Amino acid sequence: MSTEHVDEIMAMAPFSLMDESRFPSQTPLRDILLNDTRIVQYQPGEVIYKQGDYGNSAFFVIDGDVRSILPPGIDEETLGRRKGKSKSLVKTFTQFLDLSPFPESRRLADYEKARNPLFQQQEYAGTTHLLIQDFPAVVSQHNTATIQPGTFFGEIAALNRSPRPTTVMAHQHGARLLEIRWQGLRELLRSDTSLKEAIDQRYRTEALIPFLRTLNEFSDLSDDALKHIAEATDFVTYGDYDWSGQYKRFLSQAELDKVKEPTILKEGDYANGVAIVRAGFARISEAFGKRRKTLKYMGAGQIYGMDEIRHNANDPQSTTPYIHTMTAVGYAHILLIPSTIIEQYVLNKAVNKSKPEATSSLVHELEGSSLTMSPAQARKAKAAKSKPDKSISTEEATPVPSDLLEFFAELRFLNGTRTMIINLDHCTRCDDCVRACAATHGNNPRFVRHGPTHNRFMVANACMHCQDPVCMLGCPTGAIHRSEQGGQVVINDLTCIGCASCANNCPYDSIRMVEIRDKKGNAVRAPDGQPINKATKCDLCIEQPGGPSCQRACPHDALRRVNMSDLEQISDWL
Amino acid sequence: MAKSTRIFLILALLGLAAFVFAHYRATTNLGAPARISGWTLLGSCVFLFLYNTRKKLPAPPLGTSRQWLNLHLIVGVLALVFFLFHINFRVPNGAFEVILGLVFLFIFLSGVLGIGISRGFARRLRTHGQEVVYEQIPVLRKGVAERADSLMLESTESNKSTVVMDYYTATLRPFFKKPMHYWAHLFDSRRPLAQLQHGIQDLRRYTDDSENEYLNQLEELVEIKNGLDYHYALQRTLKAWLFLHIPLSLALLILTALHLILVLSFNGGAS
Repeated sequence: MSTEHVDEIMAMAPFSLMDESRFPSQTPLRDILLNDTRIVQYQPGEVIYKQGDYGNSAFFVIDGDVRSILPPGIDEETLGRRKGKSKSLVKTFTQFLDLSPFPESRRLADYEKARNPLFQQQEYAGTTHLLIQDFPAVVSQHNTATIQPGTFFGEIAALNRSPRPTTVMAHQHGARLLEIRWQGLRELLRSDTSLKEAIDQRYRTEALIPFLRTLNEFSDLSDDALKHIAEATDFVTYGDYDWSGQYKRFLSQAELDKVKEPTILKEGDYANGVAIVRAGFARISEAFGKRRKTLKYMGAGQIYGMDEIRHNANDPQSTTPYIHTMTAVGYAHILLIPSTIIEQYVLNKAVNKSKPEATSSLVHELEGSSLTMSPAQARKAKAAKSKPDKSISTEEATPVPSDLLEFFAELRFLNGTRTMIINLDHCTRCDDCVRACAATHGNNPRFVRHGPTHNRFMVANACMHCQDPVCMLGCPTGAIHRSEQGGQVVINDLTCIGCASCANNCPYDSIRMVEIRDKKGNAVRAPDGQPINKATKCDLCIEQPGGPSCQRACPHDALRRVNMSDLEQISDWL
Repeated sequence: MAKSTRIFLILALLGLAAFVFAHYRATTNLGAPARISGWTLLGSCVFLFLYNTRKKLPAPPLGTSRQWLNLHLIVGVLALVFFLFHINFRVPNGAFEVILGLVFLFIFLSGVLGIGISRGFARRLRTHGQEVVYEQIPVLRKGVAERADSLMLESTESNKSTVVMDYYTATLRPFFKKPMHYWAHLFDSRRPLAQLQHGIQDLRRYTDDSENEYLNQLEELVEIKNGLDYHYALQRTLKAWLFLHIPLSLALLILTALHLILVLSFNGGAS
């Protein structure tokens, strides 16, 4: 961005309406625009992002014609994603006849065959651009919505680190967009209340209410109750979205214990609300000796503070403060709902289901309230601090030993939904798992049976199919994506351009770049003589009907792919 | 115990009861009990051999390797029972039958040994040295040996004394160069390491503080190398026993086929 560009943007609403004096001196509005945004020119038919992509930037339409292809949208295969079909039973037997003696060999005809008739890839300005060849036909075949100049889009997915809900493309005459990194967007929201309110309102209606509906505690509430809860909810992001870079840096220096974890709720503080993890991770801990002992960690959809509020509502004479401390691990996007709202709507569900309107006047009084304490609450808090009642908490019932939890949290393995854990007391190092993996991936193992160990457990170097898949941020062709069936993170080899952005982003080094060969073992080269690289990783044997072959090949039940959010499952196996 | 294992055990017990009953009836009714035990034994052996085929086919949904191993162990024990019934609880007659019987017993014992070391060595590997991949041990060993060499050269140069180097060249250099104390490690003996540490300790009588610093580092390298040797010995044995068990199983199948041909050819029309 040049200063001329900044001037141009500053002349447009809503930037022209922003009060520059409200921005802190260290991050003035103009500096945010200068450092955290860029102007991008999109050609007619060019894809801005695809449905299901992960991205950490939002867009603002400066001018031009931008269309969002509404659900159901373009099908997965046409979007350049991998076919999710399982192999037939016969194919599972015969695939071994096709194993190549050469590493990473490919049938080159497959690339030709897979050439996407809808998309065309173009390289310019050092990046890969995707253009929809016959975009008028696409627009006419799908339901689309026009995104008007002067509006933002993509901000909710960027702030939530959630998949883009639709495919967005430039239409007819192309478009000029302002791309804003999430850091810049966060700064804008901090200092400009009108923009924050507008985005917050969209967030509440488009994302928050549907999200609350997925939680057990809120699923059976009436629409009105959910609306009131959403209106009273504060959302705060703790930690750093770019946690993976910081994690890698500290890991390389063996100083992971120096990574700071911002406090969300503090042990001993008055329990004036619940915290729900919307995205990212949080750790629940209690004071132990001179440090803290991890009791559990939480991922998306998990709630802390409900026990305390329930107890205080049932027994107002002996209130208890927060029993544990909740901190953000890496980053955590947290929803904070005041205790009064919880008591009103969640702990009193029967009333809300039958008479949602009866409570509305009270709720209106509470609107806009945050977790700031009133003097009365502060008095209560002071009294409560002297008598925390740990017996009411369910956190201590966590079935996994605390030291193992510390290990998982410190090395950020809690991000995994299919983490490969090996029990070294049972593992005979026979490598049947590695051989099985190789046999199901054209003789190329997709993991290394080695990794950090704690006590008898090793977390092997295999893709964990993370909840927060940082590898997917910035893939120019969308080759790395979540599968539609099981949510596994997979790479479409046919559309991967070998840029290595996924491999560089992965905090766990679970993605490997390989030079491909043809079936005769010759290295495949681009017209400029450079070897062609592809990103490879564990795909959880998505095409095999039996599931992950590594786990099924272990004769001693020493290897499991576990969901790190499911501590019960881990405990059962332990 | 896993549910599938419980089911396998119940089925195995039912199968065994059926076999004993059929064998008893054939014996008391002047039938051919050897045929019943023989065919059952052959079926068991073929099934046992199929486990290796399952390992070669990891993709088809044929059940997990864990389930196959459990079945393999149960059927293996049953096969021994069928075998004992087949030879009538006596030493077989004739050289061929004796060889056949010995091969069977040898396979059974190698299986027992294999399962024993699989259970025991895994835990021991975790508690000794650093976790290493077997194929990387030679590279790691070479690295440790090079570090020891350069450490000793540095010690000689900086201390202007060859006492440590002389001891190193005579005693420790061969230790660093190749895998050592294979059997001691298999039997979990700490004696060889203690001897090496004792030798270094003895040497300290003749060294000053500066040389002792180098000896401390050398002692650490000795422990690392000992850990590598430990892993090498145990991991090698864990892999090697299968090279006994599987080829012998193949030999047994061939010998059994010959035995079957002989029996069917020379049964003289007996039914």
